[in-house]
Amino acid sequence: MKTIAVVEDNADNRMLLKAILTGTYELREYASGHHALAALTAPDRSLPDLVLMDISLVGMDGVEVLRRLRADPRTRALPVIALTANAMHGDRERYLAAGFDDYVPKPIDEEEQLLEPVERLLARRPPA
Amino acid sequence: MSGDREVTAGGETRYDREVAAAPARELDREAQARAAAERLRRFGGQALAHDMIEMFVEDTPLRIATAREGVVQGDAGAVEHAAHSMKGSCAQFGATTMQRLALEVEMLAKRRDLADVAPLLEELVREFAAYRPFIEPEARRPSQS
Repeated sequence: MKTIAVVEDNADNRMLLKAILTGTYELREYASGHHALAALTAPDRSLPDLVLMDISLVGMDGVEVLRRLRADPRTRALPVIALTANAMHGDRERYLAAGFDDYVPKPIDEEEQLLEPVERLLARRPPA
Repeated sequence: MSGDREVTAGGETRYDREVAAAPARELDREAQARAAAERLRRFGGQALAHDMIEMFVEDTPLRIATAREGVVQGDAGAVEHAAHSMKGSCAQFGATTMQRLALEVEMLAKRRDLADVAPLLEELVREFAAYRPFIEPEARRPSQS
């Protein structure tokens, strides 16, 4: 089973993501950017296959966590999907430009909105 | 300052406007609560709707209390954090008025400006009291699908 790291500081949102993904994927949940970064960059831990990252985290936000993941050779190629509430026009372009692999606006109304990019990125051949 | 005493050019108070808008808002709240619960059921059945709505009903007063305490203590970070959590969960449960109020509180706290936060928290208390009778029964409603 592939592993997905969920970085989301809202317990409700984590519960919802868990309902959608559990059973198909193994989940690792992190309630802050700092926790996620510490776990994802720990050299003795296996990496997840994909990361779902909330953008507006209190403290270190999702864009900053991503920047640090991209700066570390070990986590540079990790597929990371941005999750964001209060979606605005131009967000997709902005987050793709920031280095995210895809972008899913919240609230998620249909499971497919989340599952389609997740499955697509997991099927992508890892860079050599 | 009490918002209820603000008088518009037309001579009506904010209270008059709220009373006039009340019936439409009640319908809105009912429809929003139902739609939010249906959405949760699509993802995880009634079990998920139940657990998440119970959490919302329990957590919201605690978050408001945390924000109030933050205002008293001058702890803008605590206010910001509580408002941020509230904003996220209100979006999840169709509580759009609360979501807007929580966003306003979060923005003020982020600017370390706590002077105007207290009245917004009181509005949050009132709006939660108005929304709760619509969302809470959805935790116990049998699944429609």
